[in-house]
Amino acid sequence: MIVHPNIRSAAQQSVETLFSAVAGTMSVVASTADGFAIASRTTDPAQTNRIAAMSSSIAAIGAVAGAETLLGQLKCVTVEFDTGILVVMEVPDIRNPLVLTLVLDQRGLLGNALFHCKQTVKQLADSLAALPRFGA
Amino acid sequence: MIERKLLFTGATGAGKTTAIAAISETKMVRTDVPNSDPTVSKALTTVGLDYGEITLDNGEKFRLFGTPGQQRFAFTWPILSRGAIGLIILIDNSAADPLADIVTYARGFQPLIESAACVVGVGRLETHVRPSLDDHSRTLASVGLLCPIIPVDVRQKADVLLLIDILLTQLENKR
Repeated sequence: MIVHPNIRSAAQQSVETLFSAVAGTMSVVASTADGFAIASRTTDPAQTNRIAAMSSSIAAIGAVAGAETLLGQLKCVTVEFDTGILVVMEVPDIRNPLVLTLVLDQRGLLGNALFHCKQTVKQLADSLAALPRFGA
Repeated sequence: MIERKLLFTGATGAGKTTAIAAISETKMVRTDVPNSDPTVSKALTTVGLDYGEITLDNGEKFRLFGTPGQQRFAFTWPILSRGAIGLIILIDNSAADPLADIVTYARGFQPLIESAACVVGVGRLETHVRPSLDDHSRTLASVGLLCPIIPVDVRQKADVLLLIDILLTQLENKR
């Protein structure tokens, strides 16, 4: 996988900001739409690539569900578990689409997580728009 | 009406999406996204699942599911295997190591193969004659599996229907 260093850098910056902003965060991963991690901050680095692959599947299935039900573009998929929450958001960009994933433990608050994730997605999308495409 | 589930798998570029598209009578559900892997020469790649439907002449309806091919999506394989009555493994004979591919998917779907039926379709044999069908057969046997292996062009509806026909014959013989 070839990803321009500026894209990695912008993604890593966003990931670090999000990790610090949301209490209870276990992992933040930014990945390509086809499941390659390009930036991450996590308490368990062994999970990074698995989270990236799973999130790309979740985002893709969410997106097709939106298309099939005529509900439009995917914004977010949230999955609640016994002891935590998974938030998957698409970072829209016509050239460099990414997937942002936040994994929270039981201390995490969904509303707080969604607020900060949306801010991060907007910031990252703005950064991507100004950067070269993959492979450039 | 009886509805059954069939699963298509194989490496990236083997033609899983194309095969389902060739026979589906409904608009396919696709989860294709831009490919960023330079080792794979295709613009889009499946990361979730493919879905289509077909009704055979005898009235039997099949739900057709396709898996993502890459190993990093192997977590989807047991999920998509649930409830399937058969597995179609597609091999691209122009790939770097088609025999390794057949082992990957035979092992990756071993529980389904043991409980259901399996057929292997090998594509691009006309331009890449090696490994031969016998080579594929011997490789499968080396991991303890015995399945029909046929040449296919997954763009051709008749070829994909033949795979399903052979799969159903396998199931009949298992009963």
